[in-house]
Formats: sequence, structure tokens, C-alpha cells
Amino acid sequence: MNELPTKMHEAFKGKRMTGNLSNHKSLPLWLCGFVLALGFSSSLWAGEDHLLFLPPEPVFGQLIGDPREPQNALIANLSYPRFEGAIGPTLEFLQWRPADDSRWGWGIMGASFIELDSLGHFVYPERVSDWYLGMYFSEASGDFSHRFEYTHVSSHLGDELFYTVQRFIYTRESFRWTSSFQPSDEFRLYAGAGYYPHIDPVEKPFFMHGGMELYSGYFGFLFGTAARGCFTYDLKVKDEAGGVVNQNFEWGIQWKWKKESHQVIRLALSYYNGNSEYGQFYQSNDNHWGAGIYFDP
Amino acid sequence: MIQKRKTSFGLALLCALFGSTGLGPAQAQEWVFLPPAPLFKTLIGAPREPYTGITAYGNQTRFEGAVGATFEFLRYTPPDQTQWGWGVFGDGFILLDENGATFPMRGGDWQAGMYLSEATGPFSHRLEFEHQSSHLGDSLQGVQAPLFFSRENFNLTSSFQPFDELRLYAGIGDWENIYPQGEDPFFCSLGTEIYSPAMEPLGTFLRAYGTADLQWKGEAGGSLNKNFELGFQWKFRKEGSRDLRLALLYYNGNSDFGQFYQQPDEHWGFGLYFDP
Repeated sequence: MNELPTKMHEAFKGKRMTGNLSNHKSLPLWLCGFVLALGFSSSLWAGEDHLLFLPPEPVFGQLIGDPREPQNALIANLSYPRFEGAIGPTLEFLQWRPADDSRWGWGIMGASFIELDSLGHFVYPERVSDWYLGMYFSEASGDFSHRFEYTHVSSHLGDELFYTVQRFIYTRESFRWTSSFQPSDEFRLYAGAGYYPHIDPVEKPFFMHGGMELYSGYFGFLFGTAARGCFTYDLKVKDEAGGVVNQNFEWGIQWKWKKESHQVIRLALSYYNGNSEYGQFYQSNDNHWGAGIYFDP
Repeated sequence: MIQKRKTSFGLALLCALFGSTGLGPAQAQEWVFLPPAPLFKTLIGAPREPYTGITAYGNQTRFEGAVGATFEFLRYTPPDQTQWGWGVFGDGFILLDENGATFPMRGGDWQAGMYLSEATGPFSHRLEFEHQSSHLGDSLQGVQAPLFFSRENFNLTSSFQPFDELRLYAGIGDWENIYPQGEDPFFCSLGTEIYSPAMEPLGTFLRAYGTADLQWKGEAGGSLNKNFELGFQWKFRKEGSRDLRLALLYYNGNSDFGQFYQQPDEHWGFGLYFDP
């Protein structure tokens, strides 16, 4: 709450909105859309509410065990001489905190994932890259949080394989709903389902998603910083490619400046089993161990 | 040999950081682990800074996408009121054609690196070690042969911001490992950011801006790449680093995408950018 604002806060704090939105002509159109899209909760009339523009932390916490969540990471594949890189920011445009202690968020996310072979002598040719871009709405109340997202993904064959593999057009858009339950700092469960209204190559368009995060208590680490152990399990069941079950396990450590900080360095050992998450190889089996360093903003 | 040079550079950075600042226990100093924003502010007019955004070309049916992040590990403020930062950055850039509802990929570039930065009053400096690789897009499979494009450079950028509305910067760099080989490894840059006074819609921070970024590269016989932007920057608060920008841009020079670095590129476009 220390990011709470100045004039914008004052403009909304305690305002009793007794008229309709057209009384607030200074609100940009997208803000009106945002409020409408969130259901125009009755709590707008309830008294204290805050609206934050570009807050530092999204309402829906990152699913750290999902290998396709926007993330910044470098992962060494321990089963094959390969590396993966990921860059993925989430930018929440607007966060609304009405007086009923719920929180609502609207933002975008983008991510890029690259897989590289390692040929020695610092040569890392590209096998494939996947690109994501999406928009989401999210809500959190107490232990529960939810995210509804629309995401575009495309996958591109790496130029290392131009002479050996024929690329195909892989492009999709999906709607996905994810609900998360976190009764304590040490435990989080999540589950969701999604649908591809556009999918090329044509495949069955439904998928389900679930997982969990387990954390140890914090312990003092180097120079008074805070750290804790973490374990995650992520499961995706997809109708595509004749039915796919992708599982990802991670064991690691989170390292922060203070317990309350949201910037995290994470070191993790992972095991992935299923079909490849890279679109150009989505029909191919992929089992591997990895060791990664993750930078969670 | 390259590995030794990298190791030496790392040691030099650590020595510069720890040796110059006096870790004497009695003096007021502050260490911050994982601060929320980098010390050296993003150069918003430089097309290859880490940012996230989309650019639609106005004179060609093309789009560019970018994802980028900067992650500062450590911030040190010694008693002499200088500030020091150490962190990593990474970004990916994609160039897409447009063919109806599909956007075939022409090229993709990746950059990752580590930096050490310092700020004193209106001056700030950033020393980077950066790796760059470029990959031909799969829509050109069978049409064009991919180049092996992989490089590492050291570069130093100095910035002077005497007041909020004006920033000047200049930089030099050298590719210490460069493929394709045989290119002149030197490059330098010069740029400015100019901002209007701010408006405060709903208490937020909104201002117009213009940037000019000039980069001279020794490669490909020498090229001067020019990027100009006119736009709006919108933040929650003036002090915040996160912003949303909407800009009109003009680029002229050789392509910034490595697979086409020998080819001229002139375009204008509209961009929507998010700086971390």
C-alpha cells in the first residue's frame, strides 16, 4: 500500500459515485471499459476505494511452476546439451481496490521462449522460439484469486534446423480461466481451463491446467537477506495431438531482499515430462531435467 | 582466451564496485538487494534498450515486437552520495511480415548481458557486457540462407540530465567477439531525450517527449542509424520507473536486425511501449 498515490488516490478515495459513468468525462474510455468489464461492482458505492495506475505487482501472483507463465529465466537442460531462455514481463495497467478488500487488475503480458542447442565453443544455434502476447483481467479476495486471459501464441522454427526440418505455421489464440487458492504463505493450489477459438494447425481446442506451490518458512540468508525453499507441480492436460499430459516439477530456493519484497531470484532444479511446450514440436515427446535461474519481478 | 577475458572483466567490475567505495564499517552506507528499478534509467529513444512493446510500420506491412527486462541485483550507496548498481538484462525482438491475419516471422534477435552502473547528481554511467544473437525467421526458410550472427561487446554509456526535461547521452562500444567475422567492431552512439512539462490527469504523470538516437557502427562499411520518436509518456507518479509510451517514430539506417544488418532500412511507424 505504500505505492498508494497521491492525487489519483485522493480523486477516488471515499468518492461516492452516485451518478453513472458519464458524469466522469475525464476518465479515459479504456477506464470506463475496464470498470464495466469488471462487472461494475456495487462496492464502488461503498466508500473507500483506490485505483492504481501501473502498480508494481499484479493482483494475480505469478504461477512460478508453469513453464509458460511470463518469466525471466535461463535454464540449462541437464538431459540434452541445450539451453532455454525466457523473457516475459507482465504489466498491469490498472488495479482497483474497492472497499470490500477485493482487488481487481487489468493488464497485458508478453513472453518469448527460446531453445538453443549447445555445440561447444560458445556456439548456441537456435532450435525454436515461441512468442506470447495477451491481455488479462484478474480478481483477488481473501485466499482466492482468479485470472481470465486472452493470449496469442506463435511458434517459429529456429534457423539451425532450416535444412533438416520443415517448419509449419503454428499460431493460436486462447481464452483461459485460472483460479488460485492460497490459504497460507506456504501453500497455493490453482486450476483452470481454456479454449482455443483459433488454432492452426487444427486440433481439438480444449485444455485444462492445475498445479500447486509449496514453500518452506523463511530463513536468514546471506547478509541479512531472506530465503525459502519451494516446490512446485504443474499439470496441463490438452486435447491436442491425440491427448497430452504435460507435467513440470521444480525444487528450488527463492531469494529476496526482505520477506515482503516482490523481486525474487529463484534457483531451481526441474523435471519436465510430456510433449514439448514449444509449438513447432508440440507433437514430440519431451522428458528432461533442468537447472535454472529465474528473475521474478 | 575469451573466457579469460570475461573472467577478468568480472573481477574488474567487482574490484571497481567494492574497491572504490570503502566498505568501512563506521560510515553511513546502504546496500539494497534486488531494488525495484535500475539505477541507470532506460534510454527510451534507443531502439535496442530492454523494453516491451509493439511497433506497426507505417510504410510497410510489418510489425516489430519486443520483450525486455532489467533486473538489478544490488544497489550500493556509499557515504559520498554516489550510487552504484549491478544487474542483468535481457531482451528479444521479433520482426514480422503481415499476410492477412497471419504474421510470418522474418527475424528474431536476442540480447542478454550484465551491467555495472553509477550515478552522481545529474550524471550516470553504465558499463555493459552484452551478448547478441540473431536468427532468420522461419517464413524465409528456403528463401534466404541464415547468417551465423553471434556477438559479444563491451559498451560504456554516459548520461547527463541537468533537469527533468532534458537528457543527453553518449556511448562507445567494441565487439570483442563478432560473427560474421571481419567486420569493424567499433560503434558509438549519441542521443537526447526532451520532455514537455507534465500534466496530471487523475493525479497521474503525463508528458510529451521527443527523442533522437544516433548510432554509428563500423560494420558493413560504416552505417549511421538514426531513430527519432515523438510521443507521450504516462506514469503513475513522476518518480516511478514504470511507464507506458505511445510514439510516432522514424528510423533510417541499416537494419537493427542482425540477419539484415547489411541492408538499408527506412521506416516510420507507431509504437506502444512499456518500460519496466
